[in-house]
Amino acid sequence: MILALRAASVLAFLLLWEWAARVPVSFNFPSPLATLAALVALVRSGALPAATLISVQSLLLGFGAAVLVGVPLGLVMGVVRPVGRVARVYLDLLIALPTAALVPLVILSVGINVLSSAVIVFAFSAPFVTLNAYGGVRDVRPRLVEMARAFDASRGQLFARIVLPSALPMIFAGVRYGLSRAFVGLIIAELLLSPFGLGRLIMTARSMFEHDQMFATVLWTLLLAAAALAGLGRIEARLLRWRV
Amino acid sequence: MTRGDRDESSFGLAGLAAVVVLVVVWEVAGRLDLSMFVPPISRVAAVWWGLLGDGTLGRAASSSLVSLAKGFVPAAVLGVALGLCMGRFAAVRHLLDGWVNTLMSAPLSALVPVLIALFGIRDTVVAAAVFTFSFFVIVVNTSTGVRGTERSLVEMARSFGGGEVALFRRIYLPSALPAIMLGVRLGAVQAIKGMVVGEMLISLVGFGERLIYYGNTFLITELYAVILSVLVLALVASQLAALVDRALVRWK
Amino acid sequence: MATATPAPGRREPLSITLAGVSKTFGTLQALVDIDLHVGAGEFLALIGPSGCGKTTLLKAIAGLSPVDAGRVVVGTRSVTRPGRECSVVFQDFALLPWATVQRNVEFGLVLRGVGAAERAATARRSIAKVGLAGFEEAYPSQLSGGMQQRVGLARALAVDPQVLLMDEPFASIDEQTRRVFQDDLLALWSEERKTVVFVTHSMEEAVYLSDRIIVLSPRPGRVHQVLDVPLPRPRDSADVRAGLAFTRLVDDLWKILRKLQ
Repeated sequence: MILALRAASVLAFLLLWEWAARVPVSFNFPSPLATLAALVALVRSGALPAATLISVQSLLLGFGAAVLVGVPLGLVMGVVRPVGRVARVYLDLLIALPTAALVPLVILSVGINVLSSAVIVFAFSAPFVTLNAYGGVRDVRPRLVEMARAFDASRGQLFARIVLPSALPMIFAGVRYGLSRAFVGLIIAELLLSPFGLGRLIMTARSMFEHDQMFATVLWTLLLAAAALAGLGRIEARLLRWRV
Repeated sequence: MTRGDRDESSFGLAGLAAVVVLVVVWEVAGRLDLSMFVPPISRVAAVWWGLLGDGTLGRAASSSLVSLAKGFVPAAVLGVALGLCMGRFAAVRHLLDGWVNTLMSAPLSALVPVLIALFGIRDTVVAAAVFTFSFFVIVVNTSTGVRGTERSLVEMARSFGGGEVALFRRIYLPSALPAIMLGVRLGAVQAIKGMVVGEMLISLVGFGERLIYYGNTFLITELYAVILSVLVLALVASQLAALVDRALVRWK
Repeated sequence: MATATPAPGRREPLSITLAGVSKTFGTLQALVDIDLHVGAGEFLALIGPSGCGKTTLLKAIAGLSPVDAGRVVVGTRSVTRPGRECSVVFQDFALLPWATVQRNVEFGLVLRGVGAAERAATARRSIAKVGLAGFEEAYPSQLSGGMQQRVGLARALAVDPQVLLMDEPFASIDEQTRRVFQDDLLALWSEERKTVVFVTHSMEEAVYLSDRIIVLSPRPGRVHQVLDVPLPRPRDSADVRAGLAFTRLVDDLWKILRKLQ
């Protein structure tokens, strides 16, 4: 029954889209078929794969750095309380700020290249990865720590066998959210930077009024993001099999 | 994403100390002229004051805030309404939750060019971006809040002869209020991001336009001044939302 | 029953002595001037109204909570930190949710650096002893409360403790399961003698299980009274619980506790 409803909603969406394409709006709204055709054409011409490759490069660089820096930083913040309390303030400020506002600054200081996109991706995702790792350490059940101490566990053993496994679900949640934020950062960076990547493709298509191409690229980007997140979710489910 | 409420506010003694340290380090680093991209905070403050005086910040702020209101208010009203429906009626939920959940965590900035194509390069795009960014978070949180209503409360109300409207007013809505407020708070944060992104992409009005302009003209100190203004706006907005949250939920 | 490798030589139970022990938390006096002695291999119950400090006392013996005055001696060691002689069983089980039963039971052994093969064998023996053979690969979330506590007990026993400290271990378990568990505990205890200090707020449980009952007074906790339980062992349910001696002891205990409320 549920499946039927979901399928129905997808169908309804496609029909709505098709209808919208026929209604004269302020610009030529491409129909689903036209979008699909444009998508195929973009893939064939190599433009989409090339743009994707560049975008993914920035993403991996920036997101990878965010995880490699953010998780250990969050762990340190959680274990060394004074550091945590102070760093938490900076983290909160970074999260409150609409990170897009930092893009012009990054462009000025780093330039317009893959590195600057990566830096922006990093800025978008690192704070959340760090915050979640920090939260994970702080949320460890005190009872488990007490139990381990009753068995005379050393500080190192406490960290490796109690704190870390306990924090893992939250760390993963942070990584997952960080990835979705990384995509957000990537898109914003490329829309504003423009020289390359999927963002450039989108902006170029729009300015040349090739709306079917623009739609196709936007759709592709959203699908890419969804696929990446789903993949991460799968990995997480396997590693955290013990959860209820 | 329905992240849990942030725990204890960092604006305590540690918060104050951290900010003071930041200000001091920034000033020193700026004076030492380590990089042309790090002006001393005192100069930023001076420039900021100047921008306030000549009306630049005022113009940007008024445009931004108007777009914010034009986008956020409909998003909140429609978002709560849709969330209530989705929470209450399983059919609606199954129909829409796939979309809503996906769009909530999607990089919505990818949709801004679509909005530009739809509305043209005008300030309406900003309001539309604000709406898009905040709508889905509000829907999801509201829906979750309604779904979390205790069965026993509903049964109790029914047993006293409560009809659909009464149920909504007296059981579902109050019960879901904390979740709704959380959604509104998260939505407010997202709204500001949508505002900035929208403004930066059309590069026409508001704070976003100023960010692009100062970036293009290498006016770094001015750029910092605007970034700080945006940060202050974001903080004020989230604190405001928190205040409303506390007031409303205590009421009930 | 399949013959497993014979268990290595078990260690002897130890006596416990507390002399003039006091513990304060800030301005709160939890324990005052506690003097008590537990003989090696004795089963002692600690009971008292809420807040009387029985858990604090247990933690002091475990070395988890250093005392502010007096001495705690387990065997010949003066206790200031957790040691290898004691094992603790917690009321809320304190199992690692991300680990299987096998790994949970191996936990204490892992911390002591026991080799993998020996660990696995010891843990399996312990798991079988508490009646959970076959559940080695299950996760705590898949087990009932009673089963989870058995895992907790198996973990405590796996390290061959000389003193077993149990903090209201059956409080979170339903009564029917609890009774079975009590008998199983007594059976285990009679096979491998350990000194047991058992915190409970069930009078029935205290009388049924122990050799002696220490009643603590409400905060600040002092040793209010000591009750001997001269009931014969083994304390098979049907016989002892129905008997007059048992009922009288429970009633005596109730009278003492009631005055303290």
